[in-house]
Amino acid sequence: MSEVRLQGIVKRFGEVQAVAGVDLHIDSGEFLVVLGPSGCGKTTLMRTIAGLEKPEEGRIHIGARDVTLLPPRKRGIAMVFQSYALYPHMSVAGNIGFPLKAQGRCPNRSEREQRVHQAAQMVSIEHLLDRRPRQLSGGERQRVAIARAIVSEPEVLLLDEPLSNLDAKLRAYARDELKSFQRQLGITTVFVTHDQIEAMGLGDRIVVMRDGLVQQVGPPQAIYDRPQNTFVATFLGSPGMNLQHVSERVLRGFRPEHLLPVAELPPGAEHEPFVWRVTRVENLGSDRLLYGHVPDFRGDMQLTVARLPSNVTTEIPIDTDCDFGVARQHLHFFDNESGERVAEAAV
Amino acid sequence: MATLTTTPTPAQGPRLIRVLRGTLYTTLVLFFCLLASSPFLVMGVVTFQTDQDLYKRGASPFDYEDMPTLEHLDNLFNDTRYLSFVRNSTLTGIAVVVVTLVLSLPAAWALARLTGRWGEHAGILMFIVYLVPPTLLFIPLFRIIVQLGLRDSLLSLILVYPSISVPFSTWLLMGFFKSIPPELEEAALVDGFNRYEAFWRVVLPLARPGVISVVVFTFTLTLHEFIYSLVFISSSEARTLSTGVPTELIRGDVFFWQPLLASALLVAIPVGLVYNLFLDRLVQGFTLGAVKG
Repeated sequence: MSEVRLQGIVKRFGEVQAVAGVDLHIDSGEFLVVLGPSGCGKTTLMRTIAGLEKPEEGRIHIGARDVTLLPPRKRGIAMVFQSYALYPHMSVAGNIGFPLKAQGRCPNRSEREQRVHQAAQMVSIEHLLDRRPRQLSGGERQRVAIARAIVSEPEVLLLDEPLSNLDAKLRAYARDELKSFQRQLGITTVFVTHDQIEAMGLGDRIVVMRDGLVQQVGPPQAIYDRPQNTFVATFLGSPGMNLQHVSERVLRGFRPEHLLPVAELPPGAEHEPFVWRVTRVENLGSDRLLYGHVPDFRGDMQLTVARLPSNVTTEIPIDTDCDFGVARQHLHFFDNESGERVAEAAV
Repeated sequence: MATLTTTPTPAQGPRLIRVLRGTLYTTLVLFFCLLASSPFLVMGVVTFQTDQDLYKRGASPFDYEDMPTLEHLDNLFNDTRYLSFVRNSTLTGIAVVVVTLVLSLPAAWALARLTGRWGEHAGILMFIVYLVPPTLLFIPLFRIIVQLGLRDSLLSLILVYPSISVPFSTWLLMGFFKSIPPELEEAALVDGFNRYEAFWRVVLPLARPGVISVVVFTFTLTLHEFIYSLVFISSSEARTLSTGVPTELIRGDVFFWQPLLASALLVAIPVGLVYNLFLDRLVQGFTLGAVKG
């Protein structure tokens, strides 16, 4: 268990700058999620930490050691690949014991077997030790990959979208398991994903990336509540934040769940009124999604979405002007050009 | 044929078709097996025939009037240098296989993994080299062999045969290496190996079908290659099977058919058996289950 420090990491592939100068400090024992759309450089960043890619610029420290130029095997890391990368010619036990053999840390065979058993026990796959990877289900393969990663007791655990190959039901279960497992081991973990639900649910902190740059770092709720720019605002949340031009310079944003019929707003709260015409309603069971258009300062219509929880039972007539509102505290303002957050006072 | 003329009921229909299909399949398989094995069958039968039986006009090769004889086998082993040819061919074969693997494994791996798109073009170029026929090359190569003082030595063949086997093997192995997901190699790097150990412990075991193909291809190539062997080696004791047997058992226009066919059969059987032994390996999908299910 060690802290990880990245300073000015730059990684290029020919003309393309995959990571464009990233500074990051990951605390010891922290579960850090790197979140971003595909092609944002998150996997490259993780591969750079692993030593599978050499950065053109910057330094990487794990604990007190500068590992920038060290090969992967000398960094004290373990990695779970998106495809799991289990060795098909070895049994599950062979796969889990492979790092111990490779690192020569466990020359004693019975001790090695014992550690393989312990790791398998932790992820409940003891009964599968004699099988081959091709005989396992997706969930079982993922567990084998995790067992292989933890058996050598690495300082840092790197996980590259390990849940993306599981079906939706299994994924929620695996998420819960992974989190409690990481807490139990207290191992410093970097988890890469493009799935914001995974990121919100798992991370102690989230790093949102775009185009090789860090957009915002912070605890999940803080990022959700106070997005630093329009990219983070619209990327997080499902659907993302509504943005409207309120002047040439300023965008106003609010989350779909904060746009409510006036009658449903907290009594006495100061609010921004919207006369809104709903054109379509989607009933999702737990919520209702309302779609409609609101004019911006020029009078152009902009698509706006509201999410009403199922306990809000107000009847919403279609194609009729209704009184909606957003509590002032839930309004966000961004600079139209840079997309950066600005204080309301500056508007 | 009676079943064909009666109108099948709906329940009988599919069953009848299944039986017919099975019969047709078995007949075809048997026919092709017989076709493929007939040369070996004839070789085996003729080996034990007396000259009278063999040269009798109008008789089939399977006619035996006299008792089968071991005389020709005795001839082959005691009156020719057959065993020395077998030894020379085996030694050359093993040496060429080793040289080919040592050169083509790293070359194929590097071209498949480390050089990107450029590697693919290089692989195709290597394959084109393979297409240059030995009949064009043996004269310049002969001069080189003479200058190196390797005439009449098996070393000349061990030196020259890889010029045919390495390009083909490299090209073949490139395909195998490309089918192995790079993540497996990276996982081995993370797990504690360096690049060469990762190759040795993870990549090579997975490319085993490819390695076996290369071994089989190279070994059989050295067994049947004729021109280089004929040109570079003239002394009888250094000859290999492909040139030794014809020079000793065809004298002028006289063919010693029985020992000739026996010599071919004795080499073909073990090679055929080894081929069959590894047939499954050659086609087995080793990487199943390695990545996403």
